[in-house]
Amino acid sequence: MSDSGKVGAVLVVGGGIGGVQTALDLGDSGYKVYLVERASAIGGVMAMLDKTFPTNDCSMCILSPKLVAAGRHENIELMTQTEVLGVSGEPGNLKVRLKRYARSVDLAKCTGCGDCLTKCPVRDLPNEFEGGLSKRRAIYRMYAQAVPNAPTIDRTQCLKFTRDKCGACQKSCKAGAIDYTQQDEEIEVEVGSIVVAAGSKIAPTGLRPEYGHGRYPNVVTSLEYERILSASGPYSGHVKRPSDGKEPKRIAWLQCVGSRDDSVERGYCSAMCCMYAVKEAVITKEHAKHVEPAVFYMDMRSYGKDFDKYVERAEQQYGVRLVRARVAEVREDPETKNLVLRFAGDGGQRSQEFDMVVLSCGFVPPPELIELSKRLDFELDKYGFAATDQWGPIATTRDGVSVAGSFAQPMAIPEAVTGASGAAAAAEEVLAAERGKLAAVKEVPAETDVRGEAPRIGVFVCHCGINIGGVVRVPEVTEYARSLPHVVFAEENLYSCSGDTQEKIKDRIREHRLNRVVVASCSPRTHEPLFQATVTEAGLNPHLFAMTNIRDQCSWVHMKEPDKATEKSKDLVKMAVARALRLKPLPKVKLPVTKAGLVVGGGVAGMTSALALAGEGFDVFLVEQEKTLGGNARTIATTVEGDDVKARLEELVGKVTSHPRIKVYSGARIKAIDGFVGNFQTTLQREERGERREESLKHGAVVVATGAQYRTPTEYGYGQSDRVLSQKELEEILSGSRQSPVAIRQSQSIVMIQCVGSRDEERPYCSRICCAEAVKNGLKVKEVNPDADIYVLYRDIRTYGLREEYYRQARQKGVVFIRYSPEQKPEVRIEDGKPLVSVFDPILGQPVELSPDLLVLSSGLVPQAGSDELAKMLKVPLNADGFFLEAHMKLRPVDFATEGVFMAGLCHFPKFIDEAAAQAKAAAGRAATILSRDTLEAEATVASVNPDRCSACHMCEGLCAYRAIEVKTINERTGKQAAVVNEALCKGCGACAANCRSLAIDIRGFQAENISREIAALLD
Amino acid sequence: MKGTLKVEAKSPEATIRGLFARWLKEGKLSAILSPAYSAAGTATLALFSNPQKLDEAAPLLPAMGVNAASIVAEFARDASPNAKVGLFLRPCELRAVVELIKLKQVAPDSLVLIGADCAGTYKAAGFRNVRGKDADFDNKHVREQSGYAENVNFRVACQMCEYPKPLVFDLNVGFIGMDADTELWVEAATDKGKGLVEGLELSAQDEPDKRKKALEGLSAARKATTAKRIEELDKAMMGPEKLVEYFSDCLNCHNCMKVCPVCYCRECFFDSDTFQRDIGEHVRVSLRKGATRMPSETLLFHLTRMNHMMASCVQCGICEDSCPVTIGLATLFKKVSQNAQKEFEYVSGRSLDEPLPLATFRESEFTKVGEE
Repeated sequence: MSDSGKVGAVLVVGGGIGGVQTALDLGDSGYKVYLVERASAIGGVMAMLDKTFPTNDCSMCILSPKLVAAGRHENIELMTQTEVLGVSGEPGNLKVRLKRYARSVDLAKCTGCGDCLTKCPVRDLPNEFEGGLSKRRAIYRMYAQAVPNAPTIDRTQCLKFTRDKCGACQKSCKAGAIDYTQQDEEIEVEVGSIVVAAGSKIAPTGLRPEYGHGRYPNVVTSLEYERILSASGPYSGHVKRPSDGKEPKRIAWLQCVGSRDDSVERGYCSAMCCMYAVKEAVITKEHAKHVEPAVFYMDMRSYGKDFDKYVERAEQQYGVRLVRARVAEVREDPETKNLVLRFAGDGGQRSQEFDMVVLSCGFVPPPELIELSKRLDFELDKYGFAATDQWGPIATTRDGVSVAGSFAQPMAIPEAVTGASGAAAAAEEVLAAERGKLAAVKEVPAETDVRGEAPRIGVFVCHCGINIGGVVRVPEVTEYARSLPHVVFAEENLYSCSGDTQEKIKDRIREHRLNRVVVASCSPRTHEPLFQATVTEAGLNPHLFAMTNIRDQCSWVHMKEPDKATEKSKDLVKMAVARALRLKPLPKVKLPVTKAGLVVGGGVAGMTSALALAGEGFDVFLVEQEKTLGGNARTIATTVEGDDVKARLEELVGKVTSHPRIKVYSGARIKAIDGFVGNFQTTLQREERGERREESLKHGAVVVATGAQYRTPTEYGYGQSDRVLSQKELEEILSGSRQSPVAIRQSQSIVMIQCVGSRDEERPYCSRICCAEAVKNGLKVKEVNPDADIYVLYRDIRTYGLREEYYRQARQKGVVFIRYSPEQKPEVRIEDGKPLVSVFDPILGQPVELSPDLLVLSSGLVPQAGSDELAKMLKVPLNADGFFLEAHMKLRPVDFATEGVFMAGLCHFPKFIDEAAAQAKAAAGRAATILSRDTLEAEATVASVNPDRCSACHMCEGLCAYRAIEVKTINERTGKQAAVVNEALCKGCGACAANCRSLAIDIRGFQAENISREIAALLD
Repeated sequence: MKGTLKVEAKSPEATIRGLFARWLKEGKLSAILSPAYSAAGTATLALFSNPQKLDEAAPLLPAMGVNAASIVAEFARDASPNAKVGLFLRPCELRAVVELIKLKQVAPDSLVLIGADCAGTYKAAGFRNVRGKDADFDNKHVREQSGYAENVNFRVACQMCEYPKPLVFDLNVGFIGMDADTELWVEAATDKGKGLVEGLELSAQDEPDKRKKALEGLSAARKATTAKRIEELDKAMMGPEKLVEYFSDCLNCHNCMKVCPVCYCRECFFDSDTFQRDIGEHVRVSLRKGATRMPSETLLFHLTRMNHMMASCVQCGICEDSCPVTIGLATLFKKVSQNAQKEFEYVSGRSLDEPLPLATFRESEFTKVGEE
């Protein structure tokens, strides 16, 4: 605890993607983090998924690096198999009681080799991670890439605990890590803040017993189906029926299981099932072309960025059939185990047979969280989600306790990750003064200068228990290593990665004055950083280390050929030695950081971001091109949930303008942005007392929050009659800031048309907010004038998440919703200044003529003018629709690929105020990972250019995802041009080097010459 | 702006020289790069600035010793505010210039791309004998080729060329499908081109159908020839052993690389010490195989060149002309580049706006790779 009485540590509850992101952001920003997870490994639901929409990225491939980073982070303490018992104290200084359940495996000793896993005789337990579709043993690892990678013992099934027999796992463990004597224990930690990222669970299928899950083997949940699709799943990625292992041909997805269903008290929309079902159908087609997938849905809620395009591709390119119908019942043919669906379709009741049915289950808050909410003393909403505030969607009802991820409301991964970074920011705001107080301080010995020394290589060959040693003759490989030129020392280790071996390696480096180290063991992907840290601790530059993988490449793939596996191991060691021979120490470049942030845009997102950044303890420059702050929110009266936007906005503006750390530049235009992460310099232009003035600002990070614009309609008679309005204009009328051509009280009929200028060829995206806006304004009209007839002409109603409730209210209050198809759009003509609307009603099966007093067009949002100019200045991309493009749609939703630049709000994509506010906080949380540092360490393995060879063809520039390479004039006198690398931005990915035909670019540590020498060593 | 231009004295070449003279005198161009006869009577190029000297220009000279884009890259890497140089070049040469502009090796600002139809050329070496003492050879060639006549004495690459008309140009002068004794087809595609046409007596009209048909017919015939030659090539080259055999005479002189207009590196890494091995290494490699071919690395050199050039290769075949041991490079590069460019829906030199295939990424490209 510090002088302020606060503790610079945060407790994060839940190790899913949300909790992991919060922990990483906080750890990177100088806080101690306790990451508590009830399961034996972190990863949560995302670890169970096969692919992710809309990019079809492999879920584990993108998640795993984050899990590994969290597991290895010096500021993050993983506490698996742990739960919260209670909390006491005040925000800033909380004491949390935790219970850690015995794992029966010593994490400090276990190397994760997996030898024990094959010895356990209890082998028929249902594997929960695989949805029970495969078996596990009593000692088991939750999943292959689990972090921590150590197994756990299921004490309710283990013979040692049930009958005091066996002990096979203990005998097999050469590391001595199995400990049957471990006890459950209660511990207490002191933290300043708590973030609950407890996630959600899929809705129990018992909510819809008529679909037969549990009774019919070929009816599976969507999550079970993810495992079926997964290459690491129970069927190794082959699409098979659980009943007979046959490949299904006809597969049906049933949407809204446990969602949008008041009869089971699940009135909300789960927000992501439409997309995951379509994705599962697409991936199924990629696995097996002959499959005929069909998705039975009510409204296709593909409201996110690039979602509509994804669904269209699914239909057009993959042949996924989308059927608008709610299935009443599923029946099994007892003979074939096929399934017959009964549903209302064109021409009345219909039935159709399928080989397999997937239930698109919605999401529910984990029921055990009711208990957690009591223990942490915060409130839940009526569904059991954490109750939050619209404008601070991250704060729970208890001070000092924030919520991240789908425990706040149903949301997809990007929103969860956004909320997670936002929650990190919220915790930092409480603990700004405690930053760095409890963070780990690494003491690194001075680096030995090995330049000019003859190479002295040490080789360490790993048995990995029996994982390598059971196949490869490790002593023979070690002996061979000793015979190689420049190798002065070689030895074998049981586990090269264990703590005691690390110490031994350090001793050997010193004893034998080694100046290059080779480890032949497992995957560099997981273990190279560990060994690099070890050699660093022994005074060597980390890049004097080479690793080769004789486990995956030798003992695993040649399991039955020990001779060949041994020979290949020797070859790989020879190659690694050849590489080590030419390794050079690489310097780490340190760059100073200007601890201030620039926020571009003074709307809700920009102001929220600015406040969060200032709260975190950084100076903020807030630039707004208009004379006043507020942005689009100034035209909104209330949210659909009934929040008074005007009052909240005034409060926000007040806080921003009075904050001592925030300097507001309104009526200002950005002229230029130079520099890079940590060191930006921005030139502003603004008029002051009729004089144009320029000002230069220095800052370390940028948050882009430039918003979007309401589109002015051009269709359906807009502009031809004052009775044709935009939805925004109706909103202004309802809030009293605009005169209506016909008083709302006197209006007998109002027609709203949705998707005007959205989801068409020119703008193939959904503007996301218009459905809820129409519902909101419909309800408001009904309040003023209950007798008014309101017709909403729509394509799909997309009131996703908890907003579904207002859609239901609107229907209950008599708002009529008529669906139209893009092929048969409504037609409007103006007669005597009044609009006449005709639309085909699919329920009546005939056209309907309406003559409303007011016609209201929901004309969506379009990108902010000038986005492309700003994008150029920041060297960041826009997507095809003109919105700013994030670094990764799933896991980096607020980052740009260009480091140090973040985004928030509508400039990213249309969204609601609470979503914009969450993203704004998240941007501040992400920016803090940079601004909290005194210096940034650039990667050492970066590209370097030989200017003599460079032809200045500019090809590398376009290929660099990080905008780290640029052709410049390097000699003013001769005018010589060449590519120049910005080492602060370069990630060493090698795209530029691979494409440089002049071979002018090399990646340090991976020089073409070294690699060719390594290959030559193999051929010698 | 397009139309026909009257030919004076049945000499299209003289007519074009007249245009040159006019542009230089009016100051519309400060110099013109055009084919010319060398003192020895073979084909070369010259940069003309004095109208008096234009007798030596032979704009329609049907022989090629170098792809002029290589020369353009040498003098026009940077733009100059004072110079305005007209490039009177063949379609394949202009296509190479376009690629070089995209590769930032040529700055377009000081250049005006003036193209001429080309129905095929002879090798520069030996051209003196083909032409003999015929002073009207060029015009005869144009006359003969305006209707397209297959000529097996043309360079191999020309026999396969499907672009007799330039694809990107400011101004083009065409004779294919025209009665070249009386009129030429002139077409300005840009403001720069229009500037040159201004003041000329053009009888404005749409491109004559006869010309369009002739161009199409020529392209079709050339595509058929290409298919036949590639079939022959496949027989001679497909398979690892045959591939080695195909290049087995290579002297490692690197001429093909040096004359290639789109091979633009300052220093080829094959000319650097990257592949230099010491005697010990050479002997070690030899010991392993019993005997190794010297010079070594020739196959790698050619494979690398194919890899590097495939996207921008304009199939001019000048590499083959430069090969002292007559390796059939023209057909080989035609095949490789045609296939590669098809994969990327790209045609080298077709457009200044089309991004270079390797500088872009499309989600949908090469989806077959790795999945099947």
